[in-house]
Amino acid sequence: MAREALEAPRHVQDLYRATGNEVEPYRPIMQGDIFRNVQIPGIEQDASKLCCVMSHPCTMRRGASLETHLTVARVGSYQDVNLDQWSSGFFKVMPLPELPVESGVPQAVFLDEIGRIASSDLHLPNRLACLSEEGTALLQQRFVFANTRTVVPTHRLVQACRGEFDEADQIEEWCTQVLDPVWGDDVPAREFNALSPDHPIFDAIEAEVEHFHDELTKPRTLTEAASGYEVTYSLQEDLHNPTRRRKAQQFIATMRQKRQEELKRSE
Amino acid sequence: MTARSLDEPTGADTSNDLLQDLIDPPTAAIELANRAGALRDEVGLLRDDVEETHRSALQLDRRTRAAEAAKKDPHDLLKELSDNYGMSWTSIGKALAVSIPAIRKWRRGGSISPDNRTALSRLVAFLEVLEIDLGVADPVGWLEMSLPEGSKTGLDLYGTSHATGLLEYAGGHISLGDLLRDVEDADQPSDEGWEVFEAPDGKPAVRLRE
Repeated sequence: MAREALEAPRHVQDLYRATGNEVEPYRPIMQGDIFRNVQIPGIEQDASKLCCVMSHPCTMRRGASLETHLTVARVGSYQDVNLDQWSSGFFKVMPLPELPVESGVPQAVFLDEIGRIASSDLHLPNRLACLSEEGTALLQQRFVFANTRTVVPTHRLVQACRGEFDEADQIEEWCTQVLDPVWGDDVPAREFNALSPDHPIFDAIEAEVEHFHDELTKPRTLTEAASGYEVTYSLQEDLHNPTRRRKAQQFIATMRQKRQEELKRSE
Repeated sequence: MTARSLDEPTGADTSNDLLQDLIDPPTAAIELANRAGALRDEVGLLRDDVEETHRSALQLDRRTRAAEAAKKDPHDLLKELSDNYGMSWTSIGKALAVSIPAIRKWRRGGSISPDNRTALSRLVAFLEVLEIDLGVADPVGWLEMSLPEGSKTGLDLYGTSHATGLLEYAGGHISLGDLLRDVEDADQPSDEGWEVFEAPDGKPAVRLRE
């Protein structure tokens, strides 16, 4: 039996992973992130120039880095849409209730006002909100429906992004554990949004993400006890393999501690 | 004509015996059915008792482990969840019904309410029971899997106070139907014929199942 209606979050807070000062700079840029001060070519925007990243998590990166260009949609003022109205209309938008904007006016992603921007225009201090996994899947569901009139269940959309979500969590945890002891005293967590995009911490984050990605994708070998054969694998592959995932995560935790000590020593 | 009691002595009259035999089988069947019914009720009650006792034992096991875990520093509990069990902050947040920024604050040494501290130690205890008592090799991986033919994961159910039911299900003591009986929307088929598959670019994608 097909689900006939678009879905809605049970609570507004289920939509967001973090908003305002709680947005973590160590979180990699993902689909559903809301940025301010981004000019979308050919799209009329209001003064705050809000946009939502629409590129899919699977295709927005080349290795550790973002693709040079990403797809974004305009975010702007819209009427207040109750959660029980999400299924029955407003199909051209993704409502963003309680998004903390200065005007206090309800906001929405306009799904038919899309543009292509340079990924270098997305500065971490300008990130206003990150959608949760559920919020991202709801955004995908409404976007697909707006463009194809097809309703794809959100749990399948989440499942298809599982690997990317997990990797983003791993990167965030890695950077928090490794960089916080080095930068934590200089830059208290709640002040990241006030930093200039040129602040050296952002270069440090980029370098650490690259380091982590190298570790994740590095070919490793092990000898199988039963057959004696050498097997080549990567931690990234293991993270996606249900039978090897836990060991990979434990190994990453050990690497993280080593890296933390290494960076402390080099201070 | 009245039915004869089973204990009543039989007469010598053959035609009368024949008549009685024609009358008695239904009576005997009714009595047998009644007796079987009573036994079944007793077995049912016994089964309920056994189920309740088992449920209480699982809860006690988990409470005991949670009390042990509660002695540890919350920071260490989070580390245990993350580094040993491989649980992401997203999953921890879902299980405890708290936001990711809240978990991040705890991880950075911020204060944690007594309720959340209890919830944290209960989560660690839950994973211990799954792994040690029930032999689930990767408890977090098991929790994050979609339940058969459904949109829900074990983690969704854990977050809605179905922890004991999940332990019973993991131990093979109840069926998926039993587990989902109390869960909202559980009666709605939610698989909808969609599936996730590996696209030619090696990345996962969604399609309608053929």
